[in-house]
Amino acid sequence: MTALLEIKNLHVKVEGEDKEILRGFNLTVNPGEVHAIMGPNGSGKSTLSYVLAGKDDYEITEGEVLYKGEDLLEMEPDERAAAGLFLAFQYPVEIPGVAFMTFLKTALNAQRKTRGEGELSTPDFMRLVKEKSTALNISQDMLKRPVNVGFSGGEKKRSEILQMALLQPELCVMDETDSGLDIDALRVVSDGVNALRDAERAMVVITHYQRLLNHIVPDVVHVMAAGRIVKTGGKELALELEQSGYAAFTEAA
Amino acid sequence: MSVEVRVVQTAAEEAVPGQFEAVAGTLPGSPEIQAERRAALARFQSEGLPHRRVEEWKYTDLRRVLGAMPPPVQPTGAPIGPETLAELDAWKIVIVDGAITCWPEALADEGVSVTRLTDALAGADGAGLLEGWQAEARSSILDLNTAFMATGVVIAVPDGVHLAKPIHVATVTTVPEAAAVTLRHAVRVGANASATVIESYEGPDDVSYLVNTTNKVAVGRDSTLTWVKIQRDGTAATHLSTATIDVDQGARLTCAPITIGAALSRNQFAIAFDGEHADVNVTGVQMLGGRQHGDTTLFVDHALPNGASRELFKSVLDGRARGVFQGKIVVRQDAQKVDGRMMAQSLMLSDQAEADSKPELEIYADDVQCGHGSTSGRIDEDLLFYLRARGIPEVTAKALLIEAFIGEAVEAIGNEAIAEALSSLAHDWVVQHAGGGASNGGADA
Repeated sequence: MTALLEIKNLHVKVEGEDKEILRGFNLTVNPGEVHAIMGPNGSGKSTLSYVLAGKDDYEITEGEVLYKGEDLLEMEPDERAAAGLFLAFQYPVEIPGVAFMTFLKTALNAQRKTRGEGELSTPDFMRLVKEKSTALNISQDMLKRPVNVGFSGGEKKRSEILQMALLQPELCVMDETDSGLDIDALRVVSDGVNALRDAERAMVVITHYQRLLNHIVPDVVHVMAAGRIVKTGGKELALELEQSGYAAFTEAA
Repeated sequence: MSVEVRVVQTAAEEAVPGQFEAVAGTLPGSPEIQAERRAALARFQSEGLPHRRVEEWKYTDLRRVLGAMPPPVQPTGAPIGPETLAELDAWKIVIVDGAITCWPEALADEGVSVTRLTDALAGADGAGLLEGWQAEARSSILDLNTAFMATGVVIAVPDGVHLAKPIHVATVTTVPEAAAVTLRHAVRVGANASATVIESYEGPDDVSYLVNTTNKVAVGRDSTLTWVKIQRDGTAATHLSTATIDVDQGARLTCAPITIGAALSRNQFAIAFDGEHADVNVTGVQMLGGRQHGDTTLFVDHALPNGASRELFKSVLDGRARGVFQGKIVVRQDAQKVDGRMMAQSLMLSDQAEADSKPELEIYADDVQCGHGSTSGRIDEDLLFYLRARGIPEVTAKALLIEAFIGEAVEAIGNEAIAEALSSLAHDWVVQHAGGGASNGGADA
């Protein structure tokens, strides 16, 4: 079986700077698996998510990333998305002047087009949005606004999960999706994520805190420190971290 | 305006008197009008074309850039309609190569009077088209227009008349070689009336024709006028436009200059408050690429108290284009409680493009609220990445962001059908220009 995602000895630095942020990062994710990556601030978690999604500001100095056996790093961000990779942003941006519905429809149809599928008709699209947004407690009012404009922190995260539910990616990378969420919002978001779990779809859940993993229960937990994975275990590793903190790992790294 | 000793005339300036004599016998108007034409010609000859040493023309040096003066157009009246806003439900007046080819006879049933310039100049009313121009609208370009004005429309909306459909005055140029089209329009809205008037301009690419158009606008007491000007002249054309606008008590004016075409264009608007509690909303867009030069220069004269003016001007500049916006708000000593806000924003799509923004406030009253701002920037890379990370290809993502940028100005026109038509024009422009780093724009003729 080909792994969905294979990251091999990845070294990354910010363009124009000397300091390496990822320093020999390795990860293999198979279809159906949910991986949690935990780590202290500054361990390179967000850099990993941006590099996977294709943000320009980084320089890959060594290593490779294979997505379904193909070189992911050669693909444009929109090609990665159309190929089924989705990044739920830690800080989703506000885009004044671009209507949320226009954005959703443009994104969905662009991906379908790239994959050689037909565009979704407006009624079909509306039906789909209504179904997915209801499940995530997203109001009609939110849908009428420009992308993320005036959304609260929790609304922005639900907006990310709505996009994920509509676009039906095969690999979901979630960057600190729990940050800024209260207990109720955390439950809504987690339910939305869990509804997407199936045997074909894999998830990489990046988080600082263990509490998200009570809701989205991972198959594998990795501890990341100073740009690489320093320990891998089952879901009980997350609980252990909650008790002992990251200090032991940052010292080891 | 300073008068200086002029030693050498440019070729364009030198050509004018001969061109005038060649057509003088055919130009419309009473003997008084003919005398005014000659007086205007004499002023043009002594002053010459505007040049950079005249402060309000410093970014648009016509003396230097107008290499030749095209001869007056021979009206062809070719049977062709406008491409611009063709689908818009409106009363259409079409002017092709200086001849009126489509006239809305049925407008009279709505109580609105439309008169051809030729008829207006022959009658007692003719002098009214020449008098009462604000000082800030006067220039040798206006004089040139007065000397050569041959075609135009006088629209009069009487008191109490509310026109549901816009009037669309479409100027279409089809000439195969350089020619000058000189237009004089007037729009008069009476008291408690409302109307929307759209002017559009279009013509062939690669022909260096010239359009010199003027409009004398008056908005009556408690009336509403929305005046939209869409300039899509050809890639080698020169478009010169001058308007003087008087706004009476309690009136609401929306003025929307949209510049997309022409190699060189200048839009000059002088807006004066003739009554209190009037409201002026200027909302402009220019989208330029290649080596296009677009200049919109605006004077707003708050002569009386309690007026409000909003100016929002958005430029999208690609290639080596240069976009100029000059806006001057004068608040005179008696004009207390005036609220004036001006904002000019530029979105730069290329490193070689240039935005020149000159907002000026001249305030003599002490109890007013006035402000201005000016910004310029590139497309926000974080927004672009977010859109691309959702599978939207780069060009489409840029188009979404550019359309969002100008959307605010387009929406401020307050007319959904016009906003939709403009969005579609903007979309076409963006698709043509947003292609990426090496874009030269469409006007690199």
